[in-house]
Amino acid sequence: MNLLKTRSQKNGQITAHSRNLLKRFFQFNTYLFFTCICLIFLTISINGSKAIFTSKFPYINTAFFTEKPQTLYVYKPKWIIQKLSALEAESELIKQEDSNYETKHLTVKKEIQLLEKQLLNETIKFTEYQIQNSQEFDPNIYLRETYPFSAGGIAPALFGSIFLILGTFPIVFLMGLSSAIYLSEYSPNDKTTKIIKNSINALAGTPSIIFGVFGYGIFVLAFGWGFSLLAGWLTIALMTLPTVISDCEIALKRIPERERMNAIALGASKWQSIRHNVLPYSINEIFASTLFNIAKTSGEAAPIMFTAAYAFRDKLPWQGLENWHDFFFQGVMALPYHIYILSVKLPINAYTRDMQYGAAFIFLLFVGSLSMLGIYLKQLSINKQKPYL
Amino acid sequence: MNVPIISVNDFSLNYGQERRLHNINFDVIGHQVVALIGPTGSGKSSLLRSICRMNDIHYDAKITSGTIYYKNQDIYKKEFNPLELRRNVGFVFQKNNPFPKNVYENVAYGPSLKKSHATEELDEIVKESLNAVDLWEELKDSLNLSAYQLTKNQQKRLCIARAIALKPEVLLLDEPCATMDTINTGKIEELINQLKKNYTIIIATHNMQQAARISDQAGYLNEGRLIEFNRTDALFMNPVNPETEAYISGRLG
Repeated sequence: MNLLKTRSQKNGQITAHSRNLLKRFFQFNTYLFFTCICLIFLTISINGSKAIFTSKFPYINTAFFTEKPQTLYVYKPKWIIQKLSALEAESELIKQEDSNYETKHLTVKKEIQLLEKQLLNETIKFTEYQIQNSQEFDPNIYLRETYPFSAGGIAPALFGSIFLILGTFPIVFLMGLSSAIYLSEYSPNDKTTKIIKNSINALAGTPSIIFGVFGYGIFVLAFGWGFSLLAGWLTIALMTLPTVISDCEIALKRIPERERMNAIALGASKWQSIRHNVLPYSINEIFASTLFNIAKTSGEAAPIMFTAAYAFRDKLPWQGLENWHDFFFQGVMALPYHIYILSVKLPINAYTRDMQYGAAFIFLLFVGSLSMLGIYLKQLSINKQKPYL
Repeated sequence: MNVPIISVNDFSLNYGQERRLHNINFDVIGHQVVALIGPTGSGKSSLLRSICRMNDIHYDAKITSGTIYYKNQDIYKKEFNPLELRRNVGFVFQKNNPFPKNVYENVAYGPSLKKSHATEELDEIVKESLNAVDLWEELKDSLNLSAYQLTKNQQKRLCIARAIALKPEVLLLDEPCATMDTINTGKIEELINQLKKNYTIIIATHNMQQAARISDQAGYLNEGRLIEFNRTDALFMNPVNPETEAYISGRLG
């Protein structure tokens, strides 16, 4: 008896200990992930806000939202550059010859940092428009560098993205809702329905680049629409729909069967029973799921890269239209693709960083607020369904 | 003179491969209470649902023989409008299932489906229907109360009132007292006796005392077969079929 007792006690201690360890492990993973996310968001927010906020009234850099991307012209004083490279060469030499000579090394390092600061301060920057009205600098004194897209703002990309989402939303909402209603309420319980449901679930995992190439082949080439808003809308819609349909179906299925029977027993038609007793309690959730999923897919560069997005277009979507229907057949700039170009095609340095982080920050805010709205609406809808659950 | 209001004629029903009802035959005459008794799963609910074509919604349900007549009209004919039938033959579910709306909206739902009524007209219908189930006095000041806040008994009455609001000829009650205590059961039985004046009532129940108390005619169902159908006193006093006798005496004794 005694033996058993001590053993079980011991066992109890061990399991308690290991349980605690396991808990710590799970906790650690969760917190690690959360910290990573916070770090990413913080970096983007801090660096991005430099481009967006100013110290003077109205505290927001309005040009960033209203102007087109411009080329940045940079004039660096040559004498500083020469001095800098000489110092750098010296420090390299020191490193190679005597690695222990720390104090001298440190002074050189400090000098280099000072010079770099001076270089930044004495560099003269011009945007594309300013440079036409300014005098030419002496090329013997100044070194000229150009960085495309690094001045001005992101207006065409921002509005392009807004129009892409605005157009996608009704397509996804209507098609998602009607497919979900069919699958959940009308479809017979047979093999065809099963196949359709399973393929929709499988489609939800298809890589976005596949949809992009498909859209390019069908809408851009076969239909001859070219790079156009319409092709972009349909491609994003196709990509969003599988998730939206299965989400909406779940939302409709959550309303108990008796609510439909209820109305039908009182002489309502099938559609009336759905409209009065099912949709009002799930429409918020369907709306939310559409918003949430569009926020997700509109962040993808791949599907619009081949169908709707230009790397650069100096007109805003409503400018220079001859017919009203030209609107649908114009390519636009879009934020995800713009960010891709900014970060891949440009060097990352003090002159380009503001624009890169600024665009990323704005996009984060944009998509984040859409998702938040979706989550809020979903919560509202769940509150409304409470009498059922 | 006594034209049956509902006449079930050699009616058989399948759910998928499984046969639920076997060649059922009986007639219901107007302004009577008919009780269908039998153990759970004997097909009482399926039969009730078939009478108002609620089985249409069930994908696997299939009529394999016979049909049902409502006022000499074949309700399973293609031209027959089931929506119209359901307005004349009201169905009240076993489980209380008011809409998650307030009392007024619950009762007014049925009448406002087909055509839009004036507010006064609708008010009158709601008052009449609630009066018919003795709820008006209790609830006339709280018509805005959510139906989910009512007691179980009140909810059941509300569900009946909701069906009555359509002014049907027949009411089908599926186990109206399944989850009620004796006092509330008594109240509902009283109500059924009142309603008898204006409506024909078919009630499915496994409570035989209840069937004996309230019904004029009764049928005993077992495993989808209508074993016996007769006047209530005859069925309970002198059952012809030994199966019926076994069931009744087993339960009563």
